[in-house]
Amino acid sequence: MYLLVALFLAIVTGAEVVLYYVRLDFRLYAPLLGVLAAVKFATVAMFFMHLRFDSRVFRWFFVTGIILAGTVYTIVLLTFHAFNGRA
Amino acid sequence: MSTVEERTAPVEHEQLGHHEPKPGEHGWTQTGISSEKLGMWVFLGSECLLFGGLISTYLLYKNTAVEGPTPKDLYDIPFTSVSSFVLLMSSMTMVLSLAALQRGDHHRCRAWLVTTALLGATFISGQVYEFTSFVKEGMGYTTNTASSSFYTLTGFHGVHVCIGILMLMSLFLMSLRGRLPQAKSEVLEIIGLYWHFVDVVWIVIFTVVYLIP
Repeated sequence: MYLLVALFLAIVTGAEVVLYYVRLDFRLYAPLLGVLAAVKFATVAMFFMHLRFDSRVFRWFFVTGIILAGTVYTIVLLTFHAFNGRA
Repeated sequence: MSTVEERTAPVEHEQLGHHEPKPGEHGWTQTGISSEKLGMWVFLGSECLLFGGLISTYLLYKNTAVEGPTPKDLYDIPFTSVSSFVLLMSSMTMVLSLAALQRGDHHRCRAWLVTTALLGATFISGQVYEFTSFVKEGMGYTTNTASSSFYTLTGFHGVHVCIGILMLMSLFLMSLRGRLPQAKSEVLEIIGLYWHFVDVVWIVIFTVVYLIP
């Protein structure tokens, strides 16, 4: 099964690179790449890091770190207007 | 003769070869959760904040350069894609190494460990090549704020990969000396968690820094 997971990750990485060269509209391109990266991130965490099979406590510690980092730094980036080019 | 799928099938916690310690024995905890593994997960949670800070800093500074080339002018996407693929595959070899040790197959465990370390070293070689070519193109560490934040972010990640390679080689030597028995597979699992984390961080860096303009 690990080989199948690796194959899936390779295909998603290939799709990301293809998207880079297709040059879609940025409003579609950026979220699409974000979703693909999130899928790869979750796949590695669930299957290779065994979060799917292991104790839920580990999952909560990791997810807490991600949510905390995501929230804090989104606020920082919004405060500095990083998403509208005024940084 | 077992098939590749049988040899690499995921194993539930009870079947992982872990000896469940009894009260009073080394490794016993009231929660039944390994303290060492919990410690690694807490560490990885805190690492999310470190890399979140470095990625945010890059996002803030990437468009603020007043002179010199910026990273996005010099990216070699095909080259970095291959590097990313190499690091992604090292996660697979890492998990195959753990599966081999849990089966008691020390020879394969060592082979996959060395493969993982070599893939990590290949990734680092690629990063050194990339940094060298960027400097030759005129983008040094202090050229502008974008280059400083780029080198700091990717450099920190590279240092993490190097530490991972050192830990993998230590495990390899431990295994050669017979100090990594099947019953101690959790040690390999914990180092593996660190290695996979380095991989998932690169997944984010590759997308946010390299692919999204």
